[in-house]
Amino acid sequence: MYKLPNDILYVDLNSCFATIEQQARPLLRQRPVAITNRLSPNACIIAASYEAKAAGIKVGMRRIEATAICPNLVYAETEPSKYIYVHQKLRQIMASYSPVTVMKSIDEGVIDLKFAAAAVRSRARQDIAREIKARLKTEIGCYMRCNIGISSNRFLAKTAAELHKPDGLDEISADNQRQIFAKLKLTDLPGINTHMQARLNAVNIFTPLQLLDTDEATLVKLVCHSIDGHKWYQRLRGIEVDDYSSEIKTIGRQYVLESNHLQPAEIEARVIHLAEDVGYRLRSKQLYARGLYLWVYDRHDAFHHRAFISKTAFNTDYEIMQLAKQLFTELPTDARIVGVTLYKLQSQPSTQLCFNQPVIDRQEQLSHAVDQINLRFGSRTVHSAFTLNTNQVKTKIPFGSTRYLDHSLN
Amino acid sequence: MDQSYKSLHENIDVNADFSRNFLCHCRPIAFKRPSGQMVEITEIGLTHPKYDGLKTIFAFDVTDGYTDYRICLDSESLDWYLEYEGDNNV
Repeated sequence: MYKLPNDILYVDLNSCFATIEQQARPLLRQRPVAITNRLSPNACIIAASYEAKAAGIKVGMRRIEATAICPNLVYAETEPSKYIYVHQKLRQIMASYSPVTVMKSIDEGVIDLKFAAAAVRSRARQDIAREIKARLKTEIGCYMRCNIGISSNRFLAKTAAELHKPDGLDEISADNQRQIFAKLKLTDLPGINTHMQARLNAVNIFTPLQLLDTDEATLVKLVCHSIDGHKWYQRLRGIEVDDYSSEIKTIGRQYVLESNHLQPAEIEARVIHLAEDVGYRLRSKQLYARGLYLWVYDRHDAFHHRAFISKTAFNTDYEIMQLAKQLFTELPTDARIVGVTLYKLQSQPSTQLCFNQPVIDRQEQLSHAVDQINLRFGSRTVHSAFTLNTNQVKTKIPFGSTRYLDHSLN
Repeated sequence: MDQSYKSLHENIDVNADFSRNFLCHCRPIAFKRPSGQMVEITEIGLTHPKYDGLKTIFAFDVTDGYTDYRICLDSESLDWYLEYEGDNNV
């Protein structure tokens, strides 16, 4: 690793959703808690407290499976407003140290101190990290904990953040990188999954130290076949190669149907609900789409999908719902999971005028008016009559992306 | 077992401190339910805003040491209500 300044702090909340529930409900503290999107028997665990993890509970387990392992496991249903609030507070705290902070997901983010004020840059990195941990407790709640990793790039800082969970604080520098890597497995490194591990094993790389000692030409030729090989070589040596931002390419939503006994019309209503939702998200980002993709998993777990690409861009509820309804007729009706995705996004409407342009203009005005009413009086104050009975299709947590979490703090 | 809630939405009277030093500038101390039951708050777990359009509702997750409660302050009407009572048999 090159001797570079350790300007990257990687902040990661511990078992985020479960910890927030334990923060909110003191009687759940020190107890095994699992978070699910719904309190149904087949629900999947999306987060588990450290007590639950110690008892063998893993994220992704089905409820039946988890209860068999840990009979006293307490299940709590997700409450997105709490998680979004904690995300925003964490973002506020991080932004107070540097103008360049990037949230990587709802519960983790990066502070780049290269761009921080001189007064912050001159401070010891571990002092800043300890202060962030203390501020989480005073500004959100006493049960909040986080891991913080410090290094010269995002990759090594994230590796450091995962060394000692929960509540860890570790730094990887040129002086200690080899000692730390000597204790890790390949899959402990961010970005190396079992598939990548198999590729590395095939060229006799079995440990992070062996990976670190592999020369650049070998990484490019044998391991990664592309520019990725160069990036891995630099990443492992503390050079920043992951500070890119990605554009929105798709906007989508999916829904696991609450029952296997819904009639086709009821499933169609839920598809239209999803279409309304993605339409609102599309317009909130001032975007237009040209493609709509509708997919279902049927009750036998077979995947079916249909797509439509329009010559002109659209963003009104009417057009999105009509397309979704049309594609739905071509898919099997014994669905278990349904999803609607808009793609081929663009920031401008189509320049070519259509015969029915006045109609499209009116639809755009109508969608805009509905959005304004819903923003003022609450979501779904006005909605399609098709979705009168679909209130169970609640908005759930946006994993991965943080692009819809920027509701301002009051 | 499910962490279930008794959904109540009952209006309550609340004793609270107001100060710029508190999150949301407000800290409930105790509340009285329509039944006459007085609940002394021993800990505020989390305070967070919920949005209903432009209206903000401040949600306080609190406990008296035996039961968890969610009490809410409607920032438009300034009404307090008990949203739910946690299932303390869990």
